[in-house]
This record gives sequence, C-alpha cells and structure tokens, in this order.
Amino acid sequence: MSSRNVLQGEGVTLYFGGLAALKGVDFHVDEGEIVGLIGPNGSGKSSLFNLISGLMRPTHGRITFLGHDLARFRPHQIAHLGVGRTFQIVRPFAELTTLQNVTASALYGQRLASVVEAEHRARDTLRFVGLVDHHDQPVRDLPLAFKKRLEIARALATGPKLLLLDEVFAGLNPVEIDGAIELIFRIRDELDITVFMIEHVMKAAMQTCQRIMVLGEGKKIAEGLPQDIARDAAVLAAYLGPAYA
Amino acid sequence: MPMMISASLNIAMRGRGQQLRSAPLGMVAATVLLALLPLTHPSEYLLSFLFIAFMYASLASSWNIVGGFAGYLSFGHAAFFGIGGYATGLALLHSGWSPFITAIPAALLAGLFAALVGYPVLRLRGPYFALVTLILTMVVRLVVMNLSWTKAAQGFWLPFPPFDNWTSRAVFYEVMLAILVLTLLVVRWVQYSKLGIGLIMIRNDEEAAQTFGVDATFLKVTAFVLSAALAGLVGGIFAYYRTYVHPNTMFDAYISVTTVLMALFGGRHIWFGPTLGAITLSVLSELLTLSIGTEIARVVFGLLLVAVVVTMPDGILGFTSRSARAHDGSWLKFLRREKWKS
Repeated sequence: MSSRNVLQGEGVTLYFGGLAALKGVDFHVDEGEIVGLIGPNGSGKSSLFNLISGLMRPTHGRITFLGHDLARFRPHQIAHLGVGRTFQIVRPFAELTTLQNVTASALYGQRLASVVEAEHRARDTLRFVGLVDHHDQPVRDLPLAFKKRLEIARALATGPKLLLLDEVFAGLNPVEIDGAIELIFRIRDELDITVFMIEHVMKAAMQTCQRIMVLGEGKKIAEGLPQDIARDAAVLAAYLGPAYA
Repeated sequence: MPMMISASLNIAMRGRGQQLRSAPLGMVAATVLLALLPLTHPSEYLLSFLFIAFMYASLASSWNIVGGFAGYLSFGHAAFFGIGGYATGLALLHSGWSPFITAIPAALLAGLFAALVGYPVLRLRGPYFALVTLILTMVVRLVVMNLSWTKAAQGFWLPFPPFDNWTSRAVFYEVMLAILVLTLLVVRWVQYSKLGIGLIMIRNDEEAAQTFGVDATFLKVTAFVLSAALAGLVGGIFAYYRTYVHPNTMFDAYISVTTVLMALFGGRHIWFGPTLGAITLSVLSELLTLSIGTEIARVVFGLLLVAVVVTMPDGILGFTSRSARAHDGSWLKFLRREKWKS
C-alpha cells in the first residue's frame, strides 16, 4: 500500500452567517486508507463531507483531491474526478427500483453513453454489495440495511477512487453491522477504493478504521490510531464533558 | 394505500414490456386515422374543437418535460407560446412569410429565450420557481404591450390563410396534429433517454443527483429549452389560426394554468399522460358546456378538477393499474427489449 495523498485539506473553514461550522481544519487521507471521522453532533462532520463533494464551498482554506483544487469544480465534476459519497439519511430515488437507481448513477457517474452498458455495470455493483437478488424491487420496499447497501452501491457505481461514507452503520443491528464492516474492507481491498467515513457507532469505527480523526465544535481535536483516540482526554471531554476527561 | 400501489406496480411491471411495444404502433395507427379524418368531411366545429384539443395536448406534453420529468412546476408556458405567436405574426405582417414556415424559427426563438431565462430561473425550486415563471409571463406580456413594433396594447390582425373556411380549418387541424405527434415523439424520446433518466434523478433529489455526476443546471436548461421551443411552435400556429395577435390572448395565464392542470390530470410521470389529460378534459369541458350551459359547466368542471387532483395525485394514469411510478421505471425494460433486438 503506497502512501500517496488522495485528499488533503488545509485550514478548511466554513461559516453559516456568523456561525462557524468548521474552523481551520487540516486533514489528509492517503491512498488505500480507511479513515474515520467522528465527533459529537454538530461538530461539522457532514459539513466537511459537503465541502469535499462540492455541495458547499469553504469560506476559507483549500481542499485538494489528487492534486485538483476542488474550489474550481462543481459537484458533478467532483463526482467525475472520482469522489463518491453516501448521505447520512438514505436518499435513494424512491420511485425507482434498486437496479434503476444504480444504473442511473453508473450512467452519469461514469459518463456512459449507453443505458444498456450502465445497467450491465450496475448489476456487477449490485452483485458486489449483495443486492442483486433485489434488483427489481422498488426501493421504498427495501429494509433499512438494504437501503444502506443501496446507498453504497450507488456511490460505487460512479466509479470513485475515494468513497465518503456518512454513517452507514447507523440504525443497523449487530449482525448487519458486521456485514457492513466486511463490505467496507472489500471495497478497499478488492476495488482499491480509499474510504473516508463518518461514524457514530464507535465499536464499528474502531474495528474498521486504521486512523481516526475527531472533530469538536468545528475544530480537529484529535487524530490517531483508534485505540489511542479511545483514551484521548480531549475526545472524552468533547463527548462526555470536561469532568470525565 | 402503499399496498395498493405496490400491487398495481406488480401488474404494471408484468405488463409493461408488452405495453411499450404496442404504444408506438397504437400511436402510428391513431395518427393515420386522425390524419384521414378530413376525408369524411367533418364539420368546421369538430375540426376547430380538435385543433384546440390537440393544441393543449401538445402544450401539456411539452410542459411535462420540465414540469413532470424534472419536477419543476412551471406556470409560465404561455410565455413561450406567446413568443412563438408574436414571432410568426410579426413575420407575416411585415414580410408576408407564412407562419406554416416561420413557426420553426419562431420555436427556436422561444427556445433561445428559455435558455436565457433558464439559467437564473431554474436555480429556484418549488413554489418560488412556480411563482417566478408566472411572473415571467406577466413581464413578457407587459413588455410586448408597451413596445410599438409589437403593436403594443392594440394587437394586430393577420391576413386570412388563402383557403376557404372549411379547408382552412382542415389545414390547421392537420398541422396541429403533426405538431402533437412531433411533440409526443420528442417527449417519449426524452423519457427513455439519458436526459430523461437525469431529469428523474433531479426530480427525486437534485443534490444527490449532482454527487452522482449529473450536471443539473445543464440538464434542466436543456429540458426547459426543448419544452419552450415546442410551445413556441404551437403558439406560432395558433396566432395564424386566430388571425388576431394580442398580448392578452398570447400571454394568457389561463393557458399556462390549463396546461398544468391537464398534465397533472393525465399523469405527469409518463410521456402520454398529459395528452390523455388534455384530450379527456377538452372533451369533458365541451360536453358539459353543450349539455348544461357555459356557466354551470365551469363550476362543475372546476369541482371535478379539484376532486381528481385530491384523489389522484399521480393523475388518472397513476390511479389506474398502470401506475405512473412503474412507468417511470420502464426505461430499463424498454432497453432490455432493445438489447434483445441486437
């Protein structure tokens, strides 16, 4: 595994009016890594993902992806550069079937001219995430665990080099979480995709990530190996209050 | 209710391959039969009625590219209709060029206008977009009303087409039928094309669509331009049909609203839904007017519309077993069929 830098942020700052969602965050994700992003509610995790995928613009600072300054690209162009993402609240196209959802994202994400080719690739992706048996099902009928897999499949179908996962374990039972963890490892190992994931289920994050970065009130308060993060005083203070640190 | 929807979905899924094969054939047959209708020497009344019905069918169908597929409810379709009408009208008045020919450049002009206003206007969503498109029509009407070279508030008369009355009605009927068929072909193509799939993604979740590589702005403006050009074509012919061009008739909000209602009534997720809605409502409105008189007919018609919109939010096609949502998804089956062919 090389340590080529895939994603890098320097002094990333985001203001909503007078309110700072992110304050001078520096971060990097290297090729082949699975990096976790944790932090209490409102600490700026999803905002950071929105900045990376171009749905929002940083007020200050710079984010580069494979050397491209993302400020120069619109969201669909960032997708074409190779950034795929899921959303915290699953947002599949409810009126379409599973296969149609993934086909649509392959069609546009990989800039294919042919819907037939897109459907072909979508089937491969569904097979990879284990949803191929449910391809003809309208999405609204899928259970949550499958919807989460579908979210991942849609992001994978765009052919990303970096996958941003926003709380894919939330709401899953322990068995489903184990399945999801396995899927994330396969995404990195079999598809060579770097993973940057927001997670609230700490046990799962500890098991999956090789490195964890912690945000608190818009600032990076810690970064390191999962076992170190679990003992970090600043992290405990951020989650539980200073008395517990 | 969800049970009902999924049950109907299954029926629709099983039937939709067959349906897609038969739909174009049915369209060809219907077109040929309708085109031959004047041979039976129908009354001027019937020809005029069908002209207007086809006009609304075409308007509702072209509106649907933006309003139905992309989910941007426009109340400004009359703006493009009016621009088309003024363009052909002025060209005939000043240069004597026949609207049957100038309707095409007039359509392009309406499309160009849509491209210009599309970029800012399509940034708005929901009620704001609806409102601004409504206001857009009013603004265009006001501008036209105050320019001397568009004959301002007086409007202008056009020379009659060089036919006797009945022939003229028959010619207009045939031309509008041709425009309706063209519109349906374009709209049907859009629904099953990459563009249509992108518009469905935008309708469902524009932000998510962008993260899957959809250039939402470009797709929306493209859809808007197509939609506007087709409306401009219809307007260009309508001006000649009316032989009188006036801001209040060409930029009439009633046209925009009727167009939207007809599309919603028929079912806006399917390419032939708006046509079905327009034809059904035209016939219904005419029958009511003939049977119980104009005034009461309007009241009954209005109540009927309210009832339908409340009870069938996906239109009549969404309400019947052939669910609008299932149709929406039919592009895959459609393409699978194409694959079998090759």
